Amino acid sequence: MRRMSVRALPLLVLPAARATPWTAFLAAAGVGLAIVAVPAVFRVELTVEDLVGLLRAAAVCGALGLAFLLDDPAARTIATVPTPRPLRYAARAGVILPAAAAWWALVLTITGHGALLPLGGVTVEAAALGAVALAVGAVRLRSGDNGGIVAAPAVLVLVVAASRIPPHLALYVPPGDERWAAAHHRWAALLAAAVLVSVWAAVEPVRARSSMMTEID
Amino acid sequence: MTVAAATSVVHASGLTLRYGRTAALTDVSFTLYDGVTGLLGPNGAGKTTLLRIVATALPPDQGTLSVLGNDPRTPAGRLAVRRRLGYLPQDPGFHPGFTAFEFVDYVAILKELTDRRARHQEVSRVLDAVGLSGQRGRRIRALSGGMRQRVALAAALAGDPDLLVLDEPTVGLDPEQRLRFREVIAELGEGRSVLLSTHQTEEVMALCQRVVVLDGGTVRFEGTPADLAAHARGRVWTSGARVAGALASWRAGDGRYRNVGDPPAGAELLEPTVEDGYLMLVDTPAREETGR
Repeated sequence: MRRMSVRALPLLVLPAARATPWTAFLAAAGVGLAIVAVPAVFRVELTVEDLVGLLRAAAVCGALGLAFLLDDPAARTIATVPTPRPLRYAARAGVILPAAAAWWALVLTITGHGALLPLGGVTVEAAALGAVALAVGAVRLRSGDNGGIVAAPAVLVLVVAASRIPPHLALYVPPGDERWAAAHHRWAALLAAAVLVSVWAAVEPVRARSSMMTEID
Repeated sequence: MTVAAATSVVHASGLTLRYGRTAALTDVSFTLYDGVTGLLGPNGAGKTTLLRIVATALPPDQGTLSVLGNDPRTPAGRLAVRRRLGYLPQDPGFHPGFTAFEFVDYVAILKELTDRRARHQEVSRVLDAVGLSGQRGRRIRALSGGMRQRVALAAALAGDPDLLVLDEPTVGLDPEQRLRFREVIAELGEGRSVLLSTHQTEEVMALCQRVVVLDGGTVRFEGTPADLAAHARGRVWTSGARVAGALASWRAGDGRYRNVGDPPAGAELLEPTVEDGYLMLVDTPAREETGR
């Protein structure tokens, strides 16, 4: 009866789906969809640069929603179960990532103009922002229950910082710009770094930082 | 209980942990045996920190720890402990949309009970053990605080652990709920080890075969409740008026004052309780203690 393994992961997926706090994600994803859907519904003529701008805004919304998806009000109660935290996170990821991917596919579909848009590059940007949101959330969860309250502002800070970076290191570059490929190498590096941080954050046990403790007891 | 013949379940030696500049635990050593052991101490004594260390939720900075014969600092040892451990945190969290059954079932999956039928039987058993069989289908958000606490206890009990670590399990419960909880814990203490954190001396008297007093992050006492009470032998007396110099002086139900401290000559001494012994310990600087 005992011995959890990766084969038992499917057992966790359904409860993980129910335990996931979807509200923030659904709200943010809805805003992201609206951002690309409104011009499409009203048949507004947009340039490729405008469309990429809309996709980027939708990606930020998606990342803000993802920031809250690792939050777990039962974290303290299940802190010492034998199922390792990486496996618990994997079960969450098994629910979150397909949902996020489906949402992003819908965003791209609504935006249309697939042949004209650099969808691969914009998708790497969206994936990197989402990964950063999850990574910051996971790091925060090492010492608390709510990762989203830190991860969501962190995403906004990243976006603002990315738009202020000197041109030769720019992350947000217009489509067709000669720096496009280099910028997306940087986005890919950010994505890889965020994934590595997420994996590191899943390791246990961890020390609680004094700033996270309301009191010693 | 014959302590000398009892099995050591937890042995801690020199445990030290700091949060930044603040020492939470300093050189804490104690041994836990079968039965119910109370961890007593004032707020801020380090009880929760110590329980989290024993429950493998937090590693100490220094010291050695053996739990159920395993070293929780190693991944293999930690896993071995967790497979035989039930932990009820001080402020347990839940998924409020789950029913009591669903939540305990979820925890049971996380405790590696993968066979559905056997797991459901186990979940029913532990819900019955905490008196929640009738509430198994109710959503947690609709349960009272006491019922939620029992759901968390049921989750801790899932898998029939050999060691239960309970952090102030009766906090926030009304007297009847507290009594029912005590019944459950006393029953659990038969045939397994329970480490119970509390700041209520009456709970120690009612439940515990042994008691560890933690104060300021250090162990001030380890022994039986009777030994703790004996700490105040000859230091508890009754008087007709409040005694200003006593550690504590309060008017009892019979109208006379019960005093703890250094009695005046000829005072009418009383039999000390665990509470009196505890008061003598925590209100007396450690350097004055002898024979700990």
